[in-house]
Amino acid sequence: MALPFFRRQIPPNSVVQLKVRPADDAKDFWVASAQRQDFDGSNLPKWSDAQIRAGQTWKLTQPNAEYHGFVDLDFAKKSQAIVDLRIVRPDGTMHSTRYTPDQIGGPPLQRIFLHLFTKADGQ
Amino acid sequence: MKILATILSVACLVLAIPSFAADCAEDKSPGDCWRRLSGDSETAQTASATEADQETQAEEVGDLLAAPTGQETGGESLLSTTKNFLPLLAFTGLLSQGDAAQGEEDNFIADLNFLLPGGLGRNAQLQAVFNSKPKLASPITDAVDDEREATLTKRLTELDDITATFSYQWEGLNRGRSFERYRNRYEALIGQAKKSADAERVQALDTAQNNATSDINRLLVDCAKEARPEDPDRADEIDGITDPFSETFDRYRKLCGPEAETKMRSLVAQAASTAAEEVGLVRAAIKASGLDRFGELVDNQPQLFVTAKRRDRDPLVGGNETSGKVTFEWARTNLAASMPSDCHRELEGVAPSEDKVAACADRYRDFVAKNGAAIANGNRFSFAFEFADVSEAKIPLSTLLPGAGLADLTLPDSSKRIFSLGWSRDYAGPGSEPIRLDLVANYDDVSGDPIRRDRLVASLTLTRKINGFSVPLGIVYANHGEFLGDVDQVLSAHLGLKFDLFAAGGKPTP
Repeated sequence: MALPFFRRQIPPNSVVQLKVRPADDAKDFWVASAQRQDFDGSNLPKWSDAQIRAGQTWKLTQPNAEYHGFVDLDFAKKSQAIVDLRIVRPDGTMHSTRYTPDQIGGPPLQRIFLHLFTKADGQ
Repeated sequence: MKILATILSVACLVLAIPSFAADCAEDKSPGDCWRRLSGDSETAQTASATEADQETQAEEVGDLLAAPTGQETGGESLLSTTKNFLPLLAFTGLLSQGDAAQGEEDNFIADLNFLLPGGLGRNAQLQAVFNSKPKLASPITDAVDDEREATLTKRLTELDDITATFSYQWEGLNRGRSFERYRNRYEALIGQAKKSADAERVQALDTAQNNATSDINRLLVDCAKEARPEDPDRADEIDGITDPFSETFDRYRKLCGPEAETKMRSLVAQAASTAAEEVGLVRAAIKASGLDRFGELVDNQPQLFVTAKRRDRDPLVGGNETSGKVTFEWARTNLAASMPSDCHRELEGVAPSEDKVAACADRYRDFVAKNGAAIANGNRFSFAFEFADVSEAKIPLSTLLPGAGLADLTLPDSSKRIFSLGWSRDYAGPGSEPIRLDLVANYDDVSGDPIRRDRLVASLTLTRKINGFSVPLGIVYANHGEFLGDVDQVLSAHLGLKFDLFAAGGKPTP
């Protein structure tokens, strides 16, 4: 099971960026999906494999709030995917570090849990 | 009194969540604890050795199925019926340069993928190769001296040896073995399988994990808040922890005290344990739905590969040649058979209806349950037809080299047809690794070739995988030698050894 993507002290209005691509185009035997919860606990629309491959963004608007979710990589055969998961602050700089290790393999299912905490305004 | 209160509060905390507090007690960092509790560490892998062994066995079966044997390892006389045609399409780049030291010619290669009319797809490729250094045919070099050979060679240009190759891989809703063709079906079925997991339990575990991480964040926020009035630098340091799992428990003790460290260990254990249980439930649901066999079913799909080649040569180089090959492979227990055709169409669509996906998932699951053994060990069949026609070439040496006293040469035409039928199957071997049996029969019709004769060649190959090595052992029977004048019957045995130089992670393996 993959390590979680746990980040805190995120400035409000930062953006989560997610994109997954095959480590080897000839062994692209997986599908990705993602589920997310907004700061109020409500479920946001799921991201499909095609959407995640194209690259998705998720703006964390609420200060002093928490956002959760997970990214699934379902491997049909032995293969690896490269996960580019990061948070970009409103000023364009990256918050903390990118998700590592970025190369994830299977089968079976690998799930990256997302636990994101924004900091209070003015903090 | 204050000391007593602190002791009591720590005791209450430990008593409240004793099982989690113990679980991270020996770990250096939250990341280490997560990896261990989630089964990523060596310790955890040992604990679940049975499951790991089963997965390894399944992987090895898959590797063995995917590994080409026979022809690639034991010479042309050992043939395999199990191949993946996809690499055949992976032609090299636009320009290839031969190694002069090895005596190779420079070739200019032009590739063009194009869409075939009639919905046949973008699976065709046309390639043209211009040999920049064509060579004289050997009967000519045998007939002339070096000086005249050089004179004739100077007459040749890169347009005197051109090869055009057309290749086509037949793909459709249920044809071909490219995973891309089946990705939407897999995505739809996986989504349905996850719904079949114990939803209430999964939700409860998800909530518990979220709460644990929320408490970790709160612990650090409170720790910084308490430190700020007296030690703002320490408070800033705590606020600077943006990735709590990358820190060590020691640092939490130094920054926030032993009580916070104990609580942190407990919360991390809680988050990791609930995450591991949640993922375990979802993985079990996927397995129960038969989707752990999806890749094997794709590898059993029918596949057809066609190549046609035309080689235009100056008579000095040789006769013009037309050749082609059609290869077909099929296994009975495949993805196409796993569901009715309307399921394949609906699930491959953009937005299949939920009811349809659920119904198709049931059909798929039942098929896998009934055919579990046949998916890995079922019968596989192959058929191939190959032909080559070389036209006669007349070389007017008396005209090209006047005064040399040479007669004109004629290179005779020739033709061959090869029919091939193959069958393969995996059998349970000693230990956990299967033995693959390949039986291939070829009939070579070379009636147009003056120096060869028709013959039947049959080969039986046993491939055993031992510690990463594939060991093919083959027996080949031919009712004639390849050339006229050879012995009448040939029986030979071949033993090969095959291994991967580099594993997926780039580490050399035996």
